[in-house]
Amino acid sequence: MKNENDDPGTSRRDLLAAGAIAAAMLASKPLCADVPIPSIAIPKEIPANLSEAAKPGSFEGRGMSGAEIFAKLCVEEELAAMFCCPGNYTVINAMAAAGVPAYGGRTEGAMCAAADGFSRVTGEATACSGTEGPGFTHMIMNIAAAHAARTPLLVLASNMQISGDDREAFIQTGYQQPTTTGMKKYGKRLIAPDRVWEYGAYAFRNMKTGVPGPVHLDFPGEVARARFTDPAKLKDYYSKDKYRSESRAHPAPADVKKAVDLIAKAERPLIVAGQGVFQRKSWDLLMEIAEKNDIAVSATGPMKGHFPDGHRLSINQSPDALMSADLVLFVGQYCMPSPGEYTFNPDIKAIRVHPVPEDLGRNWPLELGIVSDERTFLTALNDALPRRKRDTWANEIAAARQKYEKTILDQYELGVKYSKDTNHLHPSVIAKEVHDFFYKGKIDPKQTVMGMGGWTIGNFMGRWVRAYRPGQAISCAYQYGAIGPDVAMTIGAGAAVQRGIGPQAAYKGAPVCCISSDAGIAYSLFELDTAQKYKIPIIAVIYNNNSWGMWPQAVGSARSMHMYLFQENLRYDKMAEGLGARGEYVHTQQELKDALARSYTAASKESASTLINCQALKEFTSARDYPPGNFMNPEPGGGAFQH
Amino acid sequence: MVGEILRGYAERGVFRGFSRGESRNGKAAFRMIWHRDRPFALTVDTRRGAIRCPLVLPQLPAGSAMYRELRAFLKAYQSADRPDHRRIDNRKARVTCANRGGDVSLTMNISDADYEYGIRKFIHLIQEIYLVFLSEHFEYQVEAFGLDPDHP
Repeated sequence: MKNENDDPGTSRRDLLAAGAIAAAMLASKPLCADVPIPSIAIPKEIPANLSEAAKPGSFEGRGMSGAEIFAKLCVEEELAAMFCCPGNYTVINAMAAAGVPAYGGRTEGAMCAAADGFSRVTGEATACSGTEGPGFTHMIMNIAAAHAARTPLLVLASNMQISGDDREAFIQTGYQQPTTTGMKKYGKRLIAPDRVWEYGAYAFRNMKTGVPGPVHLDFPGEVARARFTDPAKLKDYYSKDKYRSESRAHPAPADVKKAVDLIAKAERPLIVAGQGVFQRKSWDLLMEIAEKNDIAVSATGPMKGHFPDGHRLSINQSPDALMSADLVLFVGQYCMPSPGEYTFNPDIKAIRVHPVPEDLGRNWPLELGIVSDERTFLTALNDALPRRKRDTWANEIAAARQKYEKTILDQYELGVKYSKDTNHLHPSVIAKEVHDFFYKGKIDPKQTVMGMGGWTIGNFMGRWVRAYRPGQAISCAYQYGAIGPDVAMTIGAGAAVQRGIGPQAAYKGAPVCCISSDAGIAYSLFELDTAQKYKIPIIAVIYNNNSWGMWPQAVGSARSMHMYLFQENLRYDKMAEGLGARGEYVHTQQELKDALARSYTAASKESASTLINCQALKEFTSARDYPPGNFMNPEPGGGAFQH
Repeated sequence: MVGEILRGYAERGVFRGFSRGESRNGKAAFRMIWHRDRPFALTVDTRRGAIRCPLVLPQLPAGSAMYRELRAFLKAYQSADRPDHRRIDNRKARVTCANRGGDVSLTMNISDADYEYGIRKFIHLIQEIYLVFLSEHFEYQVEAFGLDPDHP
């Protein structure tokens, strides 16, 4: 067989000429059709549909379906929002019609994360929904993340029928409740239509009392579509003041006295204020107590800001002072670390306040365990605690803050050098620029809700993110460590800001910002369509280092690195444009500054979302190539994500 | 007394698997599972007035920048600039480190036979090495301890 290149008659010049002809042919005949491309547009039905009045079901006439009865209960319980993909049609339609604020997105997993994000910045119960099999199982990562974060999340998914059980009837057959074992506070498959209200009450009792957590209800068609014309046919059809109580556990006076005594003996006390303080909206009480007795505070949990960063007693940006604390008072710390996971000295004494007794003493041996609701405890402590100044302690915290600020500024300066040397953005530069733009410029530093995720960029941003008021920042990877829900979770938080719910009221309508990675964005990029559709302006700053952040794990392992790498220089910004959002591609510090300014203008003036694709190098993670490489942020603290 | 203090730490969850070896000629040995689930050995030699941990950090070459940083960290830990509760008072005790083939040991020489002070400060120092000093050396922890970054 003869190869054409072997032909002695074919010269190099002939080949070049042939190549030129081929190129000319390609130029004259593009690979894609040259047709007019219509603009991306929000369908007219959407604003029209959203402005329709609620139309809840009624027992009159045809009566109410099981789904409508459940929706009625959700409205009475003031379910703050529902995020879903179509599927479980009877239920989601009934919820939307009844007036539950509803959002439809692109994947069930991302919608579950969005519901979680909404809850993390408000403390309110939210719902997510998807279809019976594939939609429900797509949510799993984010149900687990919500469980780790103790989010009061109502997981709804179904439209199968009990009559199809065990028959593989049609499609989507799956056993839901076993699938969420270990990642819910409560779950039930409803099989008796007349108990739909009763189990709805179970759901809200579990979400709204004690330690919150996800509740998973699945609705077979026989329940969702059953009809009732007489409420007397429903079991336990009571109003919420009868099926659950707002009564809270109060601390025993003797326990409060012991706590006051331990605080009095301490020189350098510290309150670790977990999400229970946020959930119970007790930030004002916390502030009073801290200032009354000069007690340091670390605000912890999946949300930040229930004690403001920047306050002289906030220890979140003073990690070196953590080791000095001689007494820790855990209040509302649902996800408990073990000694050695928090940066404390080995002699620190510990008090823990928790709403249910079963958890006291878990992981961390205690000097004193107190069963109490967070708010009632803080009220009692505030009443019993005397005034005291601890100037030495406050000064030590201030000195530690100065030291920390110098450390991260030095790291930033090094990052500036690396960025200039390589013409790529070092993560410390991205983090500092985002910090300066949202906290040091013209924008009210208390305004912007920040969602934070990713591995490398999450660690770097953890040093620069600030929360000056409740619910201003969320750690998307909190405890479960999911890489990917970040953008969707922040869009959910953005929906809460758009509606001005709870602590977001003062900043209603403001844009939100998310910091994530190229690995993370793959999981929820498509929700930029959802953000555009509902006019939830988000600025997504994406650290693009062409790889999974864990690529150093492949170093020295044969045939492994390819599994950790992506194509280089991927254009996530172009993908954002394809979804109707704005896209920015930056690889210098000045470009990033300019892009942030443009993106903010578009977000605040046009409710337009932007993805800023920050081109970096994977080697920035390596301590050998670009010291100091990666690090772990101290826990507890501003960058903490484990507990 | 040193044994009781160490047992107290074990009972407070600071470390686990605490055991006491033989005591002979003023020398007592202790073992515990501590940071990174690694075994730590401690010896207290009252005749020499010394507390020693023969292996605090492994695989840390003597000529490395990180080892130099560790030495600076130890020096700072004994500086009068730090508050009393965060330093070792050199009038009472001094800590030195040594490096043998990358294995870093720590020795505390006690001046005034105050072993309660000594052992508490020694435990605090190791805690601070692991929780503060090493937090900036993530890559070292992956290499030296086989740390899984998903479970740091």
